[in-house]
Amino acid sequence: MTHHFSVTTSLKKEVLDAEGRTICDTLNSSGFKTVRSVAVAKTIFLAVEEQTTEKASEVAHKVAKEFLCNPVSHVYTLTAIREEDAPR
Amino acid sequence: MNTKDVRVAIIQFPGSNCDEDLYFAVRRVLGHRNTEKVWYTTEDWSSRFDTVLIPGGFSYGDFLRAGALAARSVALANIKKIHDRGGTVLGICNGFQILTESGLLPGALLKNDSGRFICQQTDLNLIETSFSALKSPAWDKYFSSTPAQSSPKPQAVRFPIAHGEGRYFLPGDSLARLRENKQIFLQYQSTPNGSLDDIAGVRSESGRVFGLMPHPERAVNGLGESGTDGIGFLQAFLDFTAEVCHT
Repeated sequence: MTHHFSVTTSLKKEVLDAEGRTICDTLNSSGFKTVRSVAVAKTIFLAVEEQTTEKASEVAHKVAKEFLCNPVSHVYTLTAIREEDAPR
Repeated sequence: MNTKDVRVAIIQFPGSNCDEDLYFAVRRVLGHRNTEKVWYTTEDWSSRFDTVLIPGGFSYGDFLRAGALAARSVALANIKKIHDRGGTVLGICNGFQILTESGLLPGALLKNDSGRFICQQTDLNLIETSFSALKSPAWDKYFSSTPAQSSPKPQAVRFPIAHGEGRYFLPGDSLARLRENKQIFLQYQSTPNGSLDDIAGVRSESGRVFGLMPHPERAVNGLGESGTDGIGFLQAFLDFTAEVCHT
């Protein structure tokens, strides 16, 4: 059975988000003056083939922790999603 | 071991683009004949080398994060074997990013605080107490104005940088530990990218894994503003390898 997950990685709160700040500055100078801040995160979608939801979730967490996220600078959130909500 | 006997691997990942520059610098400029380029999927190459140089570029297109995928590739097992056997590792630019992503070096390299890709010359301080390679004969030969043995002052060098993700970051109080262990061997005189403590290069606790964002291999022929400080740096690294590596 295929289980679907989304993994969102983002910089820890104490780390300067240079990309987010640059986007925010550009929005402000483009007329969107009420935008106060921008934070950039990356979402990765996984389809995991496992017998049970628990096992699939375990694999997805391991992938997120050891591969998709750099724990020095980033945090991640993992969410089980429906197949139709995955981009492909 | 004599320096000339040090067996040097320059690893090539898909997307490496400073491999030829590094090969030119080591093989042609330093004249180090025992230098070989190695494709990253080559099987069990570690036994043939005493040191591995990881060049700059955009391995795997910098997908996920700079260096993240190369750091989790099959090549890392070989790199770790060389280190565990007593050999040395030097990562330059993307090579440094790969080494931090793999955990062989502390910290992380994040987007420059300006949000821009920066390509320029940088003035740096090589910190002698943190980089024992500078006690090699190459130090006196190339940096004779401030002999390492007699002067505690850092040596000023000029290397170019070319990166979008070179802002060195450490969480919490890790910086104090890095300083205490003398793991910072290279600092910008004025940070161009927002690096913590002006850090441009660090070494591992073992003292045999080095990573730096600037490009010493682009400062070997004296063309333009590039100078030749890279010759002394790379030669000192090979001398250091000869001294510490007994495989």
